[in-house]
Amino acid sequence: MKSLHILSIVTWVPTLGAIVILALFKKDQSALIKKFATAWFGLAFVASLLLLKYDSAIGGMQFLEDHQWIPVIGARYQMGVDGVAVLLIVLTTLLGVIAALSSWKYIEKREKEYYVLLLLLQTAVVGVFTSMDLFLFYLFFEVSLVPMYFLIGIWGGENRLYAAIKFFLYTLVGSVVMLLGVLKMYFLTQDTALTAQIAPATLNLLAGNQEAAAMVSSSVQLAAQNGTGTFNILRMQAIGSVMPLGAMQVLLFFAFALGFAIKVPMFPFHTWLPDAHVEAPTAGSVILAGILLKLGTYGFFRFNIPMFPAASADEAYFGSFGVRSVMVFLAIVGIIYGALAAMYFVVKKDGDVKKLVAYSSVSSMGIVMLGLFALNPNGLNGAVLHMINHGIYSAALFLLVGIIYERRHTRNVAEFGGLSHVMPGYAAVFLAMVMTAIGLPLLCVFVSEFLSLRGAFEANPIWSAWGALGIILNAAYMLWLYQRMFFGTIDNPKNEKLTDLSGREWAYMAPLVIMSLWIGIYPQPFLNYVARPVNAVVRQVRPTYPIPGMPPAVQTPQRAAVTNQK
Amino acid sequence: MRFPVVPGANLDGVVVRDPQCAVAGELEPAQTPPPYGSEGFNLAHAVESNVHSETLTEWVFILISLAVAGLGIGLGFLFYVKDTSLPEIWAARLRPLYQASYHKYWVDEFYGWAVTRRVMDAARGVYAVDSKVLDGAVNGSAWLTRFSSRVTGLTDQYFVDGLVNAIAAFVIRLMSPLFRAAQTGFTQNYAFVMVLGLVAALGVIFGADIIGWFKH
Repeated sequence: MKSLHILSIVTWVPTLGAIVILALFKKDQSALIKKFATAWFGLAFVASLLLLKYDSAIGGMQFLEDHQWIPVIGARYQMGVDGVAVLLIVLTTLLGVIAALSSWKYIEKREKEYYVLLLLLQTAVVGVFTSMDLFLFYLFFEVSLVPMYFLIGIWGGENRLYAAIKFFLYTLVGSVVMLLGVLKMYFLTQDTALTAQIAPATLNLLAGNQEAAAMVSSSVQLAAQNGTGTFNILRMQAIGSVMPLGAMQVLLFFAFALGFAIKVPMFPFHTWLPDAHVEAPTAGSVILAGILLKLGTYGFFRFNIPMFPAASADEAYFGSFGVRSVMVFLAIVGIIYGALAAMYFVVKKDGDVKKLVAYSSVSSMGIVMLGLFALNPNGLNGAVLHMINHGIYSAALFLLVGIIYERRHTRNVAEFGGLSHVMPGYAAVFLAMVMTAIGLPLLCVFVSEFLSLRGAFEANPIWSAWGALGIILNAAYMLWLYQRMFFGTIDNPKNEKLTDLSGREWAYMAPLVIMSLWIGIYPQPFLNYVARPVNAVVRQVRPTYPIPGMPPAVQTPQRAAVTNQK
Repeated sequence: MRFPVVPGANLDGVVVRDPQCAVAGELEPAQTPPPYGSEGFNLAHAVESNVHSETLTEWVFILISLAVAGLGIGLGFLFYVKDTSLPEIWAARLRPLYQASYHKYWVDEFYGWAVTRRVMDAARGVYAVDSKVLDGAVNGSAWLTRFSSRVTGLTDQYFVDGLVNAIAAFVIRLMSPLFRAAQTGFTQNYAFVMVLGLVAALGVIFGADIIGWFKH
């Protein structure tokens, strides 16, 4: 496996495509460029399907790559993915094809630059999921901002510059605070008093298989030879298991959490999101909602929870509440608050549909965060699956809003009504996605919301009750929106001659509908990919939690106080 | 009472309430459930204690149901087939009752007022907070950054750079008379200065050697 470099190929193929477009095509060949770019995205998608060969029976990090990169600071070009990252990568490449295909008519200026930036964005995002080295991760994480900034700033709506700068600066603030945390973690890897306490079993648990564990050991050895620290993510997670719960761990947790919480976005750091979505072109919204938000939740899954396990499970550090209480509180507020804010755009007579979908994302990401901080296998499985599902249905809803915007050049709810009479196919797909968003059984969101809420219920039934309230509110505004747009008579003469979905539009909507049905009816193949990584994370946070087929982990004195909690 | 489960044991007389309990080894002794349920006042019990037969009890209830259904069907026939003016007359006679029934006892209106309207108010309130307070804070911090950058810029322009310019002006004022005085235009003066410079340079370079040579 090691020599095939599948991860590097999946990561860098889009960049290669961007170079080809820059070098071989002229500015005025836009018809050719968009076809070539879409085909290239298709190629990247097919390449990423190789990752589905991930062996979930072995688990842990696979498809490993390890090369020297910047020896003076101990940063290495290390790549590896677990089942969670595999699913997110395949989602990314699938949405890449869809985003390119959906832009054919929508983008009417500077097509060459547009598709180049879209391809570069894909490299950055996939790189985030493939990195096993924190330095490399941080690099991709930051670089992903740049193409998005231009996508919003050049091809966006009226207020695009404000939205683009807000998006860039807001997320930069978070990631710079995170950088301080990264640096501290780097220096902790040189703290031999701390690292000496790491039990080999902990590393094996986190790496998941012998090959990955060997890679970690070799990078630790190399770092020791060169007198540097290491950025290896698994090594840093292992340090987390011996770090005492104190000001340092709590501060580190919040340093990382701020960076990721802004990206997620969690209440109250979400106000960049509606602006960015409203101004972004359709494909930008698709990537933003479908993938970029997941960088935040993935960060919590990969870094915050396993790297600071004591802080993640803590409920008493600030006296009557703890770190976990803060995260759960913000998640729940986000669920209710996002749903109510989304509802405002149907309560108001002339709401913007795109803003509604944007706020519904805030609510949905709250469900993911609630599932993650339930800290049990059900909650985490649900959260990870909800990341995928939200990627499917929010992307689909943004595409659908884009389709009607292309025809009417407005997204104002008051402009529509009775659309089901003239666009039956569009109405059917829209209904399928509205029902997915609500969480109708047999559609994908039902499974993930059920798992998340079941996990939350196990931790604390009241958390689950709040989550359920949010789901009711989501159903209320989604159904209301659908009624206002599609039912009744056509009052607006501009809507009388609208054409239904074209072949190209069907082509990019169909995969999303199929995926929603597939995950809704039989989610097991997807859950198989995430089961072992999720169990490892739960085991890292709660060494004694009973997981079938998994022995209890090594109990360290730093953790004993925490693991007695629920 | 809990019995350990022995494979192949005689389970006569026990009722397994929950199939999973048997796996877990928890069994409960048999209980014959009382007919018609057992808690509180029970109409079936009341009837049965008078007629003393289960079959008869069943028949009593069957007949009552049939009578009620027949009454309903008969009234429906009378009101809506036989004489269609009857519904209006009776609706007028039992006005309040008719209205309450017609409006489903205003349950929908109550929910609409107590739940739907309040949720809509909450949605408006949340959006107002979001756009004014939260986004206001974000834009406020952006304004603060711009403001402090302007203060810094003006300070730099007028104070820091002003200080530099003031020093420069001071130097120019002080030194320019001296330098101006030196610029005489006489070639011999310049030559004299050059010679002085040459002597000084020689002195610096070879001074130590010359002094040493004399001392020797």
